[in-house]
Amino acid sequence: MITAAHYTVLASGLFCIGLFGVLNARSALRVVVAVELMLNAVNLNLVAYAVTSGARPASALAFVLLLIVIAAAEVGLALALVVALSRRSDITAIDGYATLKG
Amino acid sequence: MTWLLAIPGLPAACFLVFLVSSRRIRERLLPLPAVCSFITLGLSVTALARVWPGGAEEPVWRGVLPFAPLGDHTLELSMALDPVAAAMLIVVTLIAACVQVYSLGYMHRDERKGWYFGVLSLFTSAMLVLVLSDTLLLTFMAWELMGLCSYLLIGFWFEMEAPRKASMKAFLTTKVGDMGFLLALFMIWSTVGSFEYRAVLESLGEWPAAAAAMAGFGLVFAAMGKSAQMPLHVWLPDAMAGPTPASALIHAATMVAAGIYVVARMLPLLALTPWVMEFVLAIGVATALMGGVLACVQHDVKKVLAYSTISQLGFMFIALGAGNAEVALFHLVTHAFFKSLLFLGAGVIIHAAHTQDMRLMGGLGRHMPITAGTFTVGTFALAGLFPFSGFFSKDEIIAVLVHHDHWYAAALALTASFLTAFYVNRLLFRVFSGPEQGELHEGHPSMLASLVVLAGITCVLGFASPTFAEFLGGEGVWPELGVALPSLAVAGAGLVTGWWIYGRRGVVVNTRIYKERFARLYGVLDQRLHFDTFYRQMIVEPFAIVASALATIDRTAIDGVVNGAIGFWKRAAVVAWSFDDAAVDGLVNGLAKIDVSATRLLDDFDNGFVDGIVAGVGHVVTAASAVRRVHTGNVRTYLIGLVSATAVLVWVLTR
Amino acid sequence: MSARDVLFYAYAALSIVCAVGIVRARRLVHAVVWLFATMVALAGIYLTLGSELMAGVQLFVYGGAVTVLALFALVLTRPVPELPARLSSASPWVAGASVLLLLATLITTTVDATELRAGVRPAPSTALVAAELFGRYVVLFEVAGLLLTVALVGAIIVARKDDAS
Repeated sequence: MITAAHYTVLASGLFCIGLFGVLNARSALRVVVAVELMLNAVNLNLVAYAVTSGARPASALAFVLLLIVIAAAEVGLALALVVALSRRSDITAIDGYATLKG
Repeated sequence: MTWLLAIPGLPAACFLVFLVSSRRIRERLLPLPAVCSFITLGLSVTALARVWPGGAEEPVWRGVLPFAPLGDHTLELSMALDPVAAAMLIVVTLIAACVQVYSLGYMHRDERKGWYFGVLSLFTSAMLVLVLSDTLLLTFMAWELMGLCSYLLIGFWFEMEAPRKASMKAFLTTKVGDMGFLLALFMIWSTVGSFEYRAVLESLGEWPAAAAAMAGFGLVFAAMGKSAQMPLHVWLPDAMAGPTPASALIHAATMVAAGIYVVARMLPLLALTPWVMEFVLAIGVATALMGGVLACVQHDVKKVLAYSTISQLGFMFIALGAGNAEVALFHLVTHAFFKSLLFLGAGVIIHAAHTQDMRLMGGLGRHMPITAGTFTVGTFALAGLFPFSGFFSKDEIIAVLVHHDHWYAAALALTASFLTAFYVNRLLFRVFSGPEQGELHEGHPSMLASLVVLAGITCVLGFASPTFAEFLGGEGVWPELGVALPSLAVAGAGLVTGWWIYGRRGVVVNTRIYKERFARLYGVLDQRLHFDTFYRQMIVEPFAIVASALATIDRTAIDGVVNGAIGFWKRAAVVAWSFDDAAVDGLVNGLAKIDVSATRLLDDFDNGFVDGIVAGVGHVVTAASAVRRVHTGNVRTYLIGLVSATAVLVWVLTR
Repeated sequence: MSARDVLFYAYAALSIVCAVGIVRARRLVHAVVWLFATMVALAGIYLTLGSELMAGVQLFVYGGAVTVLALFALVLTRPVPELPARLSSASPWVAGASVLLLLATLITTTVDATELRAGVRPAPSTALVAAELFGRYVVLFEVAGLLLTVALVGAIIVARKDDAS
């Protein structure tokens, strides 16, 4: 029988692949793509919980939909930032941005 | 009575209209906020009539908006109309109306006046929400919104440096106090499970002592920030860099009174812990005295008024500390009227004299009779002279102290009111008498109309003192001769001293003799009792030193190990610079005019401190061979540390 | 094994393979195409949960909008200059190790959790979800819409060509 655990394991796998993608990305755009994958893993988790153990599955799904909206807003902004960065400094290589360095 | 929602709703609507409309439309709509404030005033009067004759335990009206269902509880935002709220509604809407009308005259040459009127409306709306709010959660929301508006209005002329710095200072200082509010909210939620005022006050019997102490202290601390009590008062004098009418509304009448208002509503919770009440009393006395002393040495008209506001807020704290909320609220109300009168009068004076420095003023009385007359009414009320409103409210505070046998506090409060009378006369003589300046003209009619209204209220409001107390459910009494006479005598002595030094010769007086004789004392006073110096030397600079030390360690010790680091450094600097240029500047174009030194401090903090922490985590987590790779400033390496640490943490916590 | 189980394993394998493809793709265009494939596979996963609403949304939003947006961004940015390897300070091995650590932790905690042993119930119907979204949470819905609008306006401002330069 397929249980919630199956879905969460799958989600963990996707999340970690996405995370690895973020950590190893050369370009900002690739980071955005990998972050999308992580977001989807989280969504999958939430939906799985909703239909297995949630008390109010319909509410949970409504929240997942809202989450998708917010994630969409984030993607839009992130991609705009990528475009702006490449336009203004000719660099989309994520390693270049090391302002956190002391 | 859903129409009550229109009271905060109308100003908010004004703000929205100003927010979305173009500059041309805004210019045409300038009188809109004033019209709205008159409508809200009318609605408030109707609301007051519904509550009359007051004293009722239950609110007349209550509106609830379920906000967020959280498990078994639901967070609700609710508003209620009870006598306290009704009285405050009148105060806020009346002063807001006066300020709006006045601003039409005061700001008519300013380029960004549309924005000014918009933010002023938003502020009014937030204050009205705070007054009507029936849950601490909504109160906190309005509280923060007011903080934002205050920040925007102080920094209204952000082209200049002083307002920019002052707005940052005000925001950060009051934020320190807001931590107390959050603490109180946490304690209240965990103890009562509701933020509703009535629910909290009804559950007082079940409060554990420690929780009550923490919640009470948190609220007091929050009020100390918002109501500029020592030692968190430092932002208020600097806040005078904003437009004067905004100071009148926000930094004299309403926002700074919000702290008093919230504490007054929650006073039974504070009273559970005696030391909190004593703390409130002590802070109040200290603030009243300090504000009085410092007001005596200021040269800027608005700063004198700012310190006198601090001092008067101290008086309100005294009344709260003595356990009498009605008296504190009455002083709040009278003070709101006469202090906004004084600020608006100061605005006219500053317009006419083209300076804020009293030493450059003089002889304004003859050319500006209306301003001089109304201003004098305000100063006499401030000094506590019969029959002006300040006399009644201040007298009640001292009577409360005497009745509760707080003799020291009563004596010190009398000293503070002596100082008040003294600096009031100093202000009057410096500004209105003495040799005349050149071209002087009376203010715009819209400005004078506001002054006259406020002065009229100041003259008669005092006689409503027993009615007010009964309306709030307290016991109304007239001043007793035994208390009134000494306090009048003290005020008189202060006025005479002020006249002796500043008014006697009828010319500009030279106080250098006094300054030289008491040079040391004057130096300390001139530096505002070194509060700012203290904060700078004890908090800001050590912080910067620690931060830069950490940064240095970071640089020398770790980077020294890395081969070819210098080349990378140069690259990183170039890239960092271009990132800054492109992304940050582009994004925050408008906001980027933030105080440079603070930015640098934050930068240091970021570079030194955060890096240090991140690096520390990295040290622990990653293998020793990877240490030299950790300090690259590369977000990715930090992320790797974060991921590993999270994994370990999850492992440890779930085992 | 029921047909549903078979479908789950098939889609799960597909999504994992495609996700690895995103990470391994040499060229960005390929990564975006892999992303699209992953999203489609995930829509299939939602179908095995019995939630055709989620599957539809997944296809529309992620399969359609986000992928297209990413492709647009790809076209609008210049190719990444190849950086010297020295600059890429964290080796993939360190990153991989930490991610594997996290994955191990996540999977063990998930498998241990008894709450997650429950089987899948039928998903709520679209009508029920709609009733919740437009009834109980209508304010949240509106706020989310506002947020989206603000974000899009912000994105336009950020990405707009600077007139000054």
